[in-house]
Formats: sequence, C-alpha cells, structure tokens
Amino acid sequence: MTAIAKKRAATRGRVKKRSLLQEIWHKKHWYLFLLPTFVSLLIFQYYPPLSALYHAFFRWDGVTKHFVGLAHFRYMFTEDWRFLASIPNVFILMVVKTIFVSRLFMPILVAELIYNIKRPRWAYTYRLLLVIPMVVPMMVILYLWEFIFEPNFGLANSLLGAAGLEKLQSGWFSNPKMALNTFLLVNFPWIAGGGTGLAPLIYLAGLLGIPDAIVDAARIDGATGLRRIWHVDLPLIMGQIKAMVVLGVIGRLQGYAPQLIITDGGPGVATLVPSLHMYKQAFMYAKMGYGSAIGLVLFLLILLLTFISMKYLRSSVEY
Amino acid sequence: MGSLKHQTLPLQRRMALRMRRGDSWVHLAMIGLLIPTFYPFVALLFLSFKDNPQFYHNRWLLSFPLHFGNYTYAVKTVSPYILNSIISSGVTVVGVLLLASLAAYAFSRGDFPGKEGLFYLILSLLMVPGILTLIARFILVKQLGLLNTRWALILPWISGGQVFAIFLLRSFFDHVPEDLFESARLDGANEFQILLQIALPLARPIMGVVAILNITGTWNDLIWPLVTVMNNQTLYTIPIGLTLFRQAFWTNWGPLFAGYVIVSIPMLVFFVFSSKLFIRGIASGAIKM
Repeated sequence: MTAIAKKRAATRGRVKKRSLLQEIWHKKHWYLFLLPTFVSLLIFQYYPPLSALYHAFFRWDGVTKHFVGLAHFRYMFTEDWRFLASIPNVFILMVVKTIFVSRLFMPILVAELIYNIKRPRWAYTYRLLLVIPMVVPMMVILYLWEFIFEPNFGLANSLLGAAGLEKLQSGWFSNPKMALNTFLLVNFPWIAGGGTGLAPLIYLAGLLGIPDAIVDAARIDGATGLRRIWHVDLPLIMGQIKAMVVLGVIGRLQGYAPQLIITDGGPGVATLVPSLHMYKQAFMYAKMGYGSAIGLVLFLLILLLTFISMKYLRSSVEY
Repeated sequence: MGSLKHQTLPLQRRMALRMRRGDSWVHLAMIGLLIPTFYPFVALLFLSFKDNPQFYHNRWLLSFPLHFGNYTYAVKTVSPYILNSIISSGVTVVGVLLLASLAAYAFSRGDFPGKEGLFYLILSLLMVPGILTLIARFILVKQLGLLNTRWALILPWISGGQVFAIFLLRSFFDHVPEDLFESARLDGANEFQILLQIALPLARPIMGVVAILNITGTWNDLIWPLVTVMNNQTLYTIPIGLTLFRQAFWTNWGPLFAGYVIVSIPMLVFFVFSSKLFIRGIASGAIKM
C-alpha cells in the first residue's frame, strides 16, 4: 500500500463524524452567548414587523381585531384625501431638500472647498467647525428654527423688515402656501447638523482617498476646476454619494418629528407627510390596523426607492 | 546684482503666491457658509440672556446687562429631563454593549452549526425600517405591561441597538490575530474567560464608537418616548420634556432660550470627552466592508 493509503487505513474509524444534533450540543456554549441577543431581538425586533404585516389586514384598536382584507389599502389610495395629499409633500421634501440640497449639492460643494485648501491646518479647522452643530440636540434645532420663522417675533421677519424687504415677510409655517417651503428652508445653509453634517465629511474623506497619481494625471490632461470635479472627483466618490442619498431617502420617508413638532401637519394638510399621518391614525384615532397598513406601504416604498437608487446611481469607478 | 529686482521670481515663489491667492476664494466661500450656519446658535445664546424688554428691543445682538437669572430659572424645570435622558440612555448603552459583545464574539470566534445563517438573520433586520414596527411594538410593550415605565424605553432600545453593534464588534473581533486566543485556550481558559480577559479589553476603542453612536441615537429619540411614556412625566427624557417646556415658557423668551442652551450642554460635554475615543476607534481600522 502507498504511504497515504496506509495512513488512511490507520485513521479510519478513529474520528466519528458527529450528527447535527450532537454538533449543536457539543458547541452549546456558543448558543448561550447568542441567547440574550436573540431573545431581545425576537421580542422587540422580529415580532413587531410580523405583527404589523399581519394586522395591516385587520381593523384593530390594539385590543380587538376584525379582518378586513385589502380594505385599508383601497381606502388609502381612493378615499383618504389626507394620505393622498401627504404624498406630494414628502416627495417635494425628499427630492428637493434631502436629495439635491442636503446630500448632493451642498455637501459636494463643501467637500470640494475643503479639499482644495492647501494648508491642512485650515482644512482641519473647517472640519471641526462642521462637526460642532451635530452636538446640539435635534429638538433644540427644530425649536430654534421654529422661532426663526415665527411670524411676529422671529429672526427671519425681523431681519427682512430691518433690511427693508417687508414684501418678503411671510407667515412662514402658518401660511398654508408657504409652510412646506419653510421646511425646505430650515437649516439654511444646509451644510451641518444631524445627518446633513456627515455628508460633507464623508465626501471629503472620499476625495482625500483619491490617489495622487490620478489627480496629477487629471491635471496634466488639462482637467481643472469644474471639469475635474465632474469627470474625476464625482465618479470616484460615487460610492459614498450613493450611500448618503439612499440613507437620506430612507430617513426622510420615515421621519416626521419636524412636522409633528412645528406644524402638526398643518395648516390643514399643507405639511402632512405619510409617516405623520400614520402616527396620527394609530395614536390619536386608535386605528392601529390602518396605521400598520400605511406603515407597510411606506416600507414597500422604501424598498422600491432603495432598489432604484442602487441600480441607477452609477457605481463607483474603480481604479 | 541689483537687476535681480527686475527679474521674475523663481518658480517656487510664484507657485506659492499663486496658491495663497487662489486659496482666498475658498476661505471666503467657507466663511460665507459658516456664518449663517453658526449665527442661529449664537443668536440663541444672546437671546438666552435677555429679559423680555431687551428681547423686544433688539433681536439679534447681545443686550446688557446679562440676565443670568434666566438660567437659574430654567434649570429647575429642565434638569429632570436631563437626568432621565442620562439614566435611560446610559443603562441602554451598557445593555447594548453587554449583549452585543457576547454575540459578536460568538459570531467571530465561534464555530457552530448555523453560525452564518444566524448572522444574516440579524443583518436582515437592517432592512426593516422603524416605521413598520412602531405601532406593533407599542402594542407589544402595552401588552407586556411596561407602558409608562423606564423599561418601555430601555428594553426596546437595547434590542434596537444590537444589530449595528454586533456588526461593528464582529468586524473588530474578526481582525484580532488568532494566536492571542490560541495561547489562552492552550492555557485552559474557557471561551467566556477569553472574551472577558482578552477580547473585551482589546475592543475598548470600537466599543467606544458603538457607545457614542448608540447614546447619540437614544438621546435624540422623540417618537418612542412620546408614544410609550407620555403619561408619566417623571420619566420624560429631553426630547419630550422640551415640548412641555416650550409650551410653558413660550413668550417668556429669556428662560425659554436658556432652557434650550442648558439642554444642549450634556451632549457638548460628552462629545468633547469622547471625540478622541471616537477617532481612535474609527482609526483602529475595524470598520471595514
């Protein structure tokens, strides 16, 4: 016999292959490590969405339920004028503010500005300054901007008045035509604070990661200024841009704290967004089933938009 | 020698001058953006020291004398909220780190049937947006009898913080060289001891990152406390507390803004102390895809 065959013959029968159950029992301590986590996840993270999916087809006040099939969805898209009115609101906020202003234009501008600073000490200072507003609690920022746009005493109207621009003074949040636009204006100039403040920093990190060889090659080829930004910088940080846009969209579709706190969806439904509508239906009118249905629709919308963003924002160029 | 003055400057000097001149536009633009960014906060500070006559007289600049009394007045109302936020977020973060380090260590160093499957099961939770679960989670908490208790905040928060924490911690543990663990195993240590005495001390920076991200998230959470603790004012965290505070102090401008400032301080302090830890944690290179 060959040496190998001899060895195989010798070891045959020495190592018993364990069955799955025996393997699990032998490694049981690892499962104990996972136990606390999975218990907490099963209770608070797995059960609720399943319950939501289930109850979206019921009339439910939290205690008693009554099957209604697709009635909620039919109602939502045909008769619930509030829901239907809230959809364009959230889309305007999402497309104009979240995507274009907060996650594309402003952060790319700021990142490029800091990127092009020659002395690193200034660049560091600017980055630090961008981080500072993130420390302020979201509620304080919201109430601060509520005050700024307060029609009678707020900074906005006072400043306009003092500058002789009385014509531009407005009821801001109390004016049905202006309320949604006022939400677009909040956090001017949209470069710092909360999630918005992270985008310039992340894009800047991406730009700094571009190898010198490429930057030099671009310069030699004559690509300067805007051309370089469009043809070189942006493609190379497309990965970061995609991530920030997707996260921004997901956050915007779900968030309703600003609208709840400042205008409660009003005046009328001028600033109502679907997630706020869901909140009110569930917690003010105890229509938990209908609220779950709205939540389900929003969930599907998020999936859809995430899928579209991932597919159609060009992938980062590899070098 | 004297004609040097009429010669052009050497290339380096010219480049340096061109760079410095070109830079000024950038600085101008940055400053132009930073001023409106910071002015609202500066105005907040100024307004917090005014009494009402000063407020109505001048909205944007500092008025003298400064009314520090606004702060002592607001502090009384606002400090319970700060305390509640500290307790609720603090206990939560400890819970998250505890559970997540156990699980992350198991996923990283363990070898057991179904390991990767279970891990993907956890990751898949990232796909589930909060909006879907809000209502059902509320009813669950209600049925568990936890409404209006601190646990209504802490337990769901701990469970919510798991996924991301496990993700980060596992990524870190994956990059620790096996030999450290091998030598301990040869010495007869069981896995739990290894976790406690070797893995965790090493993981301090990344645990710092997890802690900071978690605290920031729970600190600012308005919706969940609003929904679960609404009827128990003694448990109000800063976000809900502020809604009450603003109602009560509207048109009492000085103390109102002083309250806003006071409530921002803890986070500021926390940030100052933790930023070094945060940067060290990120720089440790554990966050990779």
